[in-house]
Amino acid sequence: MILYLEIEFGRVVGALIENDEVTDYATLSDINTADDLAEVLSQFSANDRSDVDQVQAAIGKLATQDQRGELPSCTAILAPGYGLPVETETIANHTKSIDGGLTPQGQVTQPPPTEINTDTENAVVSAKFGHKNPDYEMDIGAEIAASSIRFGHKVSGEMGFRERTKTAVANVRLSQLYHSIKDQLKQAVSSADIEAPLYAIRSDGTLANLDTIDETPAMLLSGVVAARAFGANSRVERDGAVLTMTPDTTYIVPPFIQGIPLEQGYFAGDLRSGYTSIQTVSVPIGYDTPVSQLISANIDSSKDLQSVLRPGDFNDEDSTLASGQIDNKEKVRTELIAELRSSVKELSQSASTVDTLIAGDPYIASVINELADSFGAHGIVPDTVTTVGAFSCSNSEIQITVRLQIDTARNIISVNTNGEIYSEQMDLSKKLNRLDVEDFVKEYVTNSLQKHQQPIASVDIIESRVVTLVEDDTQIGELHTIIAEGTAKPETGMK
Amino acid sequence: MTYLERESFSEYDQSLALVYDKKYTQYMQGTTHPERPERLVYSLDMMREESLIGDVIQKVTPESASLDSIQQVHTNRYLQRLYRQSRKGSGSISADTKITDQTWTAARLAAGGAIRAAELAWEQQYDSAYAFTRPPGHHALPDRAHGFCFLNNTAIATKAIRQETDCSRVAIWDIDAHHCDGTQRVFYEDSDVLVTSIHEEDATKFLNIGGTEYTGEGEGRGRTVNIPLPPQAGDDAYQAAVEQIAQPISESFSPDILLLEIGFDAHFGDALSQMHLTANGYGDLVRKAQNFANTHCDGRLGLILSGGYDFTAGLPYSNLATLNALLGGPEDFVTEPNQPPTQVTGENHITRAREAQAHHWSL
Repeated sequence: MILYLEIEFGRVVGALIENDEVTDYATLSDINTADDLAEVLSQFSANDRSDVDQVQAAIGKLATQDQRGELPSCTAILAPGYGLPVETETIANHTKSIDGGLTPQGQVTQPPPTEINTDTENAVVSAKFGHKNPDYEMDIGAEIAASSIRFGHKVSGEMGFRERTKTAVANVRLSQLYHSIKDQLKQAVSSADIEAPLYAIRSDGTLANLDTIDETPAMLLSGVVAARAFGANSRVERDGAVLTMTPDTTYIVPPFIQGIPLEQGYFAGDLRSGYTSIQTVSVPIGYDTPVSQLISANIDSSKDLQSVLRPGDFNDEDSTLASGQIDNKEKVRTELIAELRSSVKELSQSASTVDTLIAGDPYIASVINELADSFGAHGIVPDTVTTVGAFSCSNSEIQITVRLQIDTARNIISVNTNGEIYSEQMDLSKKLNRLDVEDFVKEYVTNSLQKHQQPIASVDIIESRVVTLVEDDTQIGELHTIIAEGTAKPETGMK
Repeated sequence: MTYLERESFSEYDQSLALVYDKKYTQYMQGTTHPERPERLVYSLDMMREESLIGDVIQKVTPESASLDSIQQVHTNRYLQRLYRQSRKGSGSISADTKITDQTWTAARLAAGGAIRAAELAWEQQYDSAYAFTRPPGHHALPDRAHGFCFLNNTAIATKAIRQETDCSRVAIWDIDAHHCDGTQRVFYEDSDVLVTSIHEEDATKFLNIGGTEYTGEGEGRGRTVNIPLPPQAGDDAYQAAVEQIAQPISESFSPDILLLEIGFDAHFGDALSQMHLTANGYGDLVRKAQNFANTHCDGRLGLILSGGYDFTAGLPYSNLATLNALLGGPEDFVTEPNQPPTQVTGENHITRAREAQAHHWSL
């Protein structure tokens, strides 16, 4: 039995799922502590709790805090180097650029300054081509007094500089919140006598062991939306656009194509993340949006609406869609449908014909038919819509992307995965051909990730490239870069 | 709209097709040969690092050039020799140009890339198209080759586009540091193809036909324009050569399409020439080609990669400036790690080249 948890800001949904059916569920609002979370779990019987052999959590609170502008700030120390200029003001709350940088080969053109004055709690160090020479960023980091530092090169070897840097910023700004949620979750699960592996649902709907994403919580930003979209699609067995509401935002997920979602990065709030995420169109209306704002907005574009519905506009005395004390329900429905209609229309013009709209939560369920009718489309409310995300659980896989560099001149293998980098010295004197390398990588990834508690079952090579290393007109070795993707079914059973 | 699109500059309002196949980075003449995969690998790394590949630049995969299209330029005898030696797995067609078991396949794929770029430029689905290919081709003559080349990509693309479409007149601007002796030879007597080469004087002797006195023969009289520049010529000299000669002659010629054969070996960091072009200098030349194509060819511009061997600095930054220009980015937008040395203006050389063309064009 799988326990599915949706941890939102002030609201938690828990559902037990077995053989693709939800056997029990519980919801709780005004929730903030581990004890509150434990209270949700306590609503399940002791027998059911003891049958749980896997926990999958979608943590929506991360995106909500981002959209409310309540995350801690961050200073980015950038070595933008050469090439195209970098618009530093778009990177982080505060930025400092240092002279010099790295070449496309990772060579240092000018050593970084030995004194970098920063007075910050959260910092990011990122250099253009930083992934070609990790020591460069680490040396800069050694000069910075910050309690939490993230490095661009650890994010990914495949994203571009700006994208990598912004993702590192997202990781460091989410770090404290993620750790507190993780601790609360572990504590609540333990106090509910559930002994099972804990997984987080990532933005692309795949799973990650909760302890392996300490450095990369930005991978979880769209986890709730992904779970609900996968769950809704699986439940209705028909491809359609899924609409689902979170506290501050309604997401429209374009129709899956033969069961596969379109993908992008995350850019719904202030944060930006290049980690793969389910594609969405976002409308800045959620179930915590003050009704007074919604019905007085009278604004044509969602961009303008976003400027009206900033977190500062919140007023505790205002009713919200979730508060159940709405005086002018018809007016609210009309405004809500009008806003959603314009976004769905935009989607159907730009992406594909949208002939089916699927509700991904109870709030949207109340307006989906009216909304669909206005397009001549078909509206569907999945059964047990409150826990629709739970239906994503049965088919979820752990997926991990690994970037390896095999340097046969220096006999070093470097592995970058989930924000962790490690290197190993190994005798690579034998010349490797492409097939040798791919076999070697598959075996190496499987073995090394098992050592890191990732039970990988299969490894696919996504990309493989090689350059010749030449010194004084003599070939001294090869540099292989391989991107491999490992997948596995999550572990079940006692920890 | 995906996240990557949002990472590009708002100035980028032009679309670009990059004709590329991964096999272009797998073929090699030898691990220490200058014409090697790293020429493209580090430039591709640069495009990734600057978030250009993906949504800003669309990759288009080419097909190998058909035997029929290659035969429009090269003799059967030469093609048979190239094919046989490549099947055998070793040999050479000149002192600097080795044949391996990959040569035949790689050369056909590069020629196919040039054809695809010309087709895309003609169809105008994108604002411009760029054949990011290797091996290069402009030293390939109908019956032989040298200078790291095997098949003349630009010549094959020119013939193909004229055969496949309504295109009748083609202007080729070749700004590789070395003279395009192969391309010149192919079209030397052709009245409908204008070949303009700006190159380093005496950089390599090869056929030694890159002087100003070579202007075409028969129906092709006046259709060959050579602008040899002195060593250390830089951005100003190249700009002047284009503004004072290439541009006005091309305007009078009135082509249907402009093909720019771009070699980055005239960059100041390149060891295979003594020219002093900067990365932004390349960007300016591309902008001039773009403006010309927009004004006189209904915007039909195709780029075909030629040389460029400083693969860790000169090539990736010059290529970046080229892409920036093609995408509509600002001038002088690219910085590079090394400072350019002193440049010469080459005024006398440009004057001589203008005088040589005065018999054929009013300049």
